[in-house]
Amino acid sequence: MDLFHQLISGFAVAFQPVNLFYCFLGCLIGTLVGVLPGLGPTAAMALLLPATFHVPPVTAIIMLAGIYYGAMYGGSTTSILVNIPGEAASVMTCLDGYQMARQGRAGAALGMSAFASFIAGTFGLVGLTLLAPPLALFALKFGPPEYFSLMCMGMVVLSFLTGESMIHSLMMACFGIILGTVGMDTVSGSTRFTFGLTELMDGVGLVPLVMGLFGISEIILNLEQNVDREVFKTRVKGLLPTLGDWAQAKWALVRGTLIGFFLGILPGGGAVLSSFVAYAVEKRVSKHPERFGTGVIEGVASPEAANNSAAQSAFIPLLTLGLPANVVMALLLGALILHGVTPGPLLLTKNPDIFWGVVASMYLGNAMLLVLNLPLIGLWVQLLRIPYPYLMPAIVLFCIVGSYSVANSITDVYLMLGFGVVGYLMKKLKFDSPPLVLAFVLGPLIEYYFKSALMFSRGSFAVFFTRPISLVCLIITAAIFLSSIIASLRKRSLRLVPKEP
Amino acid sequence: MKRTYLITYFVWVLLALSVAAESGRLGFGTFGRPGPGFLPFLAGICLAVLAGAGMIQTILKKSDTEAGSGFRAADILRIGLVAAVLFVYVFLWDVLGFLASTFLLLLFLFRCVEPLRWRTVFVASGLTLAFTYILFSVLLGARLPAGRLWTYFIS
Repeated sequence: MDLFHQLISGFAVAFQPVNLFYCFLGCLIGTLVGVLPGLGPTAAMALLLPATFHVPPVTAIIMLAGIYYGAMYGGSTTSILVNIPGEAASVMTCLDGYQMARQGRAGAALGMSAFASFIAGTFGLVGLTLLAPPLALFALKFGPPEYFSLMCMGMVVLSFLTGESMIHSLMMACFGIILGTVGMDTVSGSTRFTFGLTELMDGVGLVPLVMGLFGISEIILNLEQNVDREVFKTRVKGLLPTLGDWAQAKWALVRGTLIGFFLGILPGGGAVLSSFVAYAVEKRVSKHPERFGTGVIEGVASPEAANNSAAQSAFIPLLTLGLPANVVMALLLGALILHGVTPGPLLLTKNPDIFWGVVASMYLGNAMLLVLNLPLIGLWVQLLRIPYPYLMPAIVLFCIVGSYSVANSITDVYLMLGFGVVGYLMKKLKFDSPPLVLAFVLGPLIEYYFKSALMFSRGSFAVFFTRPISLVCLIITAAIFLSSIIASLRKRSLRLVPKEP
Repeated sequence: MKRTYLITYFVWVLLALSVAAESGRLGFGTFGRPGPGFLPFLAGICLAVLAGAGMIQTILKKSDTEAGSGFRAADILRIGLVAAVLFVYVFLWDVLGFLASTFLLLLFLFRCVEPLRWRTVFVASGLTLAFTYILFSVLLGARLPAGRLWTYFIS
């Protein structure tokens, strides 16, 4: 079956009423969590994961994916109207979007943000449709050593890109691997780090971990910060950008889309990093960089295009290699495994309905989000006016009941609260959560591939260095390590040079 | 912050060494047939080395300009109180049941964390509780604890 027919079969799955409904629900919830600061897409997806246990895997992934890319759209609304990013990938949109709103051009900023998101998101999807099948075919050549090296590379790249300190990020990755080993070892049958608790025999749950680290910790952090927000009082009008706006923003949109697409595929790239890079590149290539931050439309188009393009392309490594590029994809990987689906190169041949159904639903979701974010903008503005003190208790309660409802286990709730406190301390001390969650999800897979590779080679570590793909991954990993150490030493030597009077 | 970081790294080193020791008890196996303690041991050792490196880096740093926003006593007290209330709340599920303990928790959160008027507190608590119960118990079928106290009275 050629690509076109496969995509058509995907649309047949996506157009089933139940899938259409869940796609819309995901986009709606995504926009909501994007608009409302306090609960990001990761925590929202973890919260709703138990709700998907009653539906088929394809429906579950369609909804969870909708939450992710929906949040990318919604986050910009808060950035433009309140100057607070609804979620991390919309930070850069605040800079020019809010200034445009102050100049009475909130409508144009919101409109450009939605159109840029739609165009870039659709481009990302076309890239995903075209690139995924050949990549999955190529990935069939991968054995345990390749997967092990690739996963190590992914974790190191993520640690390198996400955190302020490489040491902290790597520490979190190690801690994540340790947490991932809690429970029964599937090979030997012995229990590890369970402290005699039968509830821990199946390991630490993904939902309590993510909800604690991303949901409860954020709420605790907000207790010490004032989250008062002032929403623009003026009526938002003129949502369609003018021809002049389009002329000004067209190349920014193209560059943002391309940057987002390629950074989204890389491990650790994702929507947040790509929006930062796209904004920086746009400022660098602009003829008037001094105007950035004062309300230029390129400053809205570029990061919004980048984060949406990245949100779609991040699915490529997940659906073809079974490797999550960021924490949200790690959660989706966990969701697929919980639903009994093995992500990886065989997904395309064994479960084509899931693969193409999810891809086709994302085309539909993008169109839904355009409708949700332009004509319904007034609704989101009203939601933004709900004071935080009313939202906070509801979010706390949702996190608690959500983590309980996964397995009707009170231990999971205690674990989530514990992770919430740990997550708060981590945030205060600048230890990043994404490497921890990624390592936690990948930990059991890393262990499986590591052991398999060693058993296959009868205990020889040479197996990781004699196979070309594995070797390339390990060389990249070592290069990142070295560059990080060199950068740290250079920073230190610069600090030691006495300043001239 | 320098002292805080040194304590943090020390805690990490202790944790990592405990993991490594427990992994040793689980058994490393051989390279050709790795045991259940093999990977956690490696991860524990790596964690200890990294935490040690962080500790040395902090000690060598001359100025106290480490990243991190610090802890204020008032915040710690407030956050500690909320965290303790949340743990007690979950503990009370077993005794009072979900509905009663959640109503009490919501009263606390609406009134004490961000002081609102009592009438607003009761209305907001009632609505939030009803919404959560309908969503999770009725629609999603979660078995929320009824509470031993009420079961005792009913029986």
